[in-house]
Amino acid sequence: MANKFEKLKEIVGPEAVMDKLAFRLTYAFDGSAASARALLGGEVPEAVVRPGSVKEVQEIVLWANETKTPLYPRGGGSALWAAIPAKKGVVVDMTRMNKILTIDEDGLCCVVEPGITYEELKTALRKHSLSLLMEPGNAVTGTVGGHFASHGTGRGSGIYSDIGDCVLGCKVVLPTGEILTTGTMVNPNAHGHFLRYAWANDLTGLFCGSEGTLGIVVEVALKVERLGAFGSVSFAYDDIDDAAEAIYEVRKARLPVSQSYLITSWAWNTYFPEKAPLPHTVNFSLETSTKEILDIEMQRLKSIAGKKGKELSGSLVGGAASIERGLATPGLLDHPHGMMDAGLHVHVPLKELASYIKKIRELCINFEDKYGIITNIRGFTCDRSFLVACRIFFDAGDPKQTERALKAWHEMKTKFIDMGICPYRLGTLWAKELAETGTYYEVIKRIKRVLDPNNIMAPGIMGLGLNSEY
Amino acid sequence: MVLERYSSYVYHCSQCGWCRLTLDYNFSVDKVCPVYENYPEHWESLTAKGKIILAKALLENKIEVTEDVVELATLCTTCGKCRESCMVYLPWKAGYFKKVEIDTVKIIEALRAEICKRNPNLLPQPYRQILERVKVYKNPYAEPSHKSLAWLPSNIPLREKGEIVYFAGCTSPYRHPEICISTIKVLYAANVLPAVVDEWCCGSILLRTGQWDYVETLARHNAEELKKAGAKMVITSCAGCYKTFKTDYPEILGRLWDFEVLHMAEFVEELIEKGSLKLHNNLNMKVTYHDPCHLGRHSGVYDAPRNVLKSIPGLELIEMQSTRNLAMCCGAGGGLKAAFNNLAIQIGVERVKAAKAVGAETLTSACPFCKHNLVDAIKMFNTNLEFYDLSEIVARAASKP
Repeated sequence: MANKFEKLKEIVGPEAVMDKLAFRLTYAFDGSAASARALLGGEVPEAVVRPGSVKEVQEIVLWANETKTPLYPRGGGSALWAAIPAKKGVVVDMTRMNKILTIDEDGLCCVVEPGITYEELKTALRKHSLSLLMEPGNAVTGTVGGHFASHGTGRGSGIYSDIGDCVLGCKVVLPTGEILTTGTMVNPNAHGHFLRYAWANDLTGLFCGSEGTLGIVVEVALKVERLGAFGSVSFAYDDIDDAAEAIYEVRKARLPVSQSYLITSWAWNTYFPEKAPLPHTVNFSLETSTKEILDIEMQRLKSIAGKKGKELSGSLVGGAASIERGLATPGLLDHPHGMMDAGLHVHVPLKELASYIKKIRELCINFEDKYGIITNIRGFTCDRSFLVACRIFFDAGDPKQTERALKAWHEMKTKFIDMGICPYRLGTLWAKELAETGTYYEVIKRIKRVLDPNNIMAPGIMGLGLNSEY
Repeated sequence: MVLERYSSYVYHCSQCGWCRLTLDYNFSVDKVCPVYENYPEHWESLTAKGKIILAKALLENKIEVTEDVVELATLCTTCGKCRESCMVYLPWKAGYFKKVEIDTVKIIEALRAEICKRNPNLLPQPYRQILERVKVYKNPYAEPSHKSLAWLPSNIPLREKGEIVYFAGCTSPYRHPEICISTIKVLYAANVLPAVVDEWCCGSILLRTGQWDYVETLARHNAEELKKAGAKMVITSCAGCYKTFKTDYPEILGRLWDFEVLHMAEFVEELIEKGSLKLHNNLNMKVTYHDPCHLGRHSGVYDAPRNVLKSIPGLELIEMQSTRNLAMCCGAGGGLKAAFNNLAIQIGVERVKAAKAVGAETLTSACPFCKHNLVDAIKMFNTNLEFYDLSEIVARAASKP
């Protein structure tokens, strides 16, 4: 086995290949419930490799073709949707490729390697008075590559919906080792990235959301804007209809709201049962070009959101007014009482937000009774969609509770599909549902077969590339 | 299984990765794990998340204890910055939840204890040697016990009984006696005449390296000696002893441990406040203070050493970029220096660079182990930064002309 990886060591240097079991274990896990316990985790990779350049990625891919070894690209390792090896193979840890290649202030674009985290990129852009259009909730460890490869959302989704709307192109090492550039840089004489929908088909879109199944993304060109003004305000609502209506009306009013973040009363009550009942809350984040416009739009926002809501000032639940850092991060309460979260993240139409939230809530109550689990609901706007995070909490230390939670999760998933939702990020978790999408699935499979004849790229992710299909 | 006692902590890890990167006070990216940052390659496994996953695999009997397992488990300074950055720990710290749901340092220490139970021979040889030495010599340096008071200046009378006892520890007397000498001089300058006892190693190094069994013997001896001396208060200049006395001994000994414990920084702060200690000498120094993990993050003592330094005329105190609960470790802790000395020094070099970056001319700390490693790091980095323990600086400020 050791010999198998000698070639990899030649490619990237001996220190950038890891084949010790204790170290490899980590790479069978991400932040998802599927890896809550070792017994539920993904396959432990045979090795982990950390390439430092496009050329090294290319050579790794060629080696994988020769040896028929599956490759699983990995970013920050914080995914919630089981972006973990489904078969034995090699994890390609992209965090060594974390450079900013270009900051084009005039062209309002930056080109980065995939392993850079959003927070690092934001810090660098701020020095140029630039900001990103979108960043994930976990910008601290979340990488640009992981976000792009998985249809990422976050702050900015209220306007741009998905990371796909914030990119101008990308560079990908294809499963055959060829290098594909998309966008205007298809013409190597082009003066940078300035149009995503360049030349013929939108191949950028083919890789955005492909979760490593079609190649390894080695560069992403992101749109940036001049730093503007930012403001935020929160409202409390006693009725979910009123909260949903406020979110919808704010969107319809074309306010520059980068994110409307709903935490339902049921979620708050899960976190702080001793303070229940707490209201539904919505935090609206406004981003405008100037402070003057921000003030005007903030007044408009407050008049719409405040029709049936009460503006919140200070902390809803008490506790320390602030700690040194971290409280600004919604993730701080993601794991109430240390529990893991089997999250069902799904898109629902914004126009029917109240109806969907209520239906999902009803399902949650039924499943709480049936399985003795704790659930809650929160989410945020993605332009015309609303991304619902329906969460099933469980104590991963209790194998029986873990089993019940995951059973509930699978059952709820089926019910959700019947309701007409769209799953957010597939990983290995939504493979069955994708396989039932008929022609859509067949086309995706055909594309994979053409691009990846030896089935080396992330087999099993999204259910693609399993032996029986190849 | 030792690890089972901590399994609730293990399974409360959300695997979010904030033990690799976090945000500092200015909401800028801050690096968390000194080992991850300074190891030749940035393996995610080196962070607390990786070690917790390893603990899960051991708990579920998915892997055996092998050399690889031991290597990963011992590649940690147990500095606890990962705990300060943890998404599951922070809600408790913020006052939202009443119960601590996770303690990464406890997990890592228990992981090592589990390894020790299953196959002690696989522990790094320096760890096993430390245990043997402590058993025989009652200190990890194999120094004869009669030398334990060799540091005591001849003009300072020895007291065997008294309500205040100075506990020198092991690293200061045997490797950096200037720290003990300075501490005693400072106490004498304030007319405090502490007693000294027949000390045995406090056991900190054994607790951190997973070799827990012999610690109770050490703790019992030290408690009995203190009782015999009539002690009510124990003063130490070692951050490791301090943390062990404050948090570990009460767990091990229960009511038998009934002493007020103060680090010399806290005691000196009180003496200055009361006017019992005059720091009359002008020290024209630009100093930055490195928070020892055992005193800072593990015990919450951040202000006392700073207040003491600020009381010294002419001394300018400058803060490094990462300080207090987000301070980067010096690299010496958790047995890392014993098992991976080069890596420990490399981590220390980063701290030295941080001190230089803010224009400090002197780096100080309040822990002999920090001194041990940071002096090595200064030599390796070949820079003109000076290092003095807090006690040494205070002794200079307090000495009579």
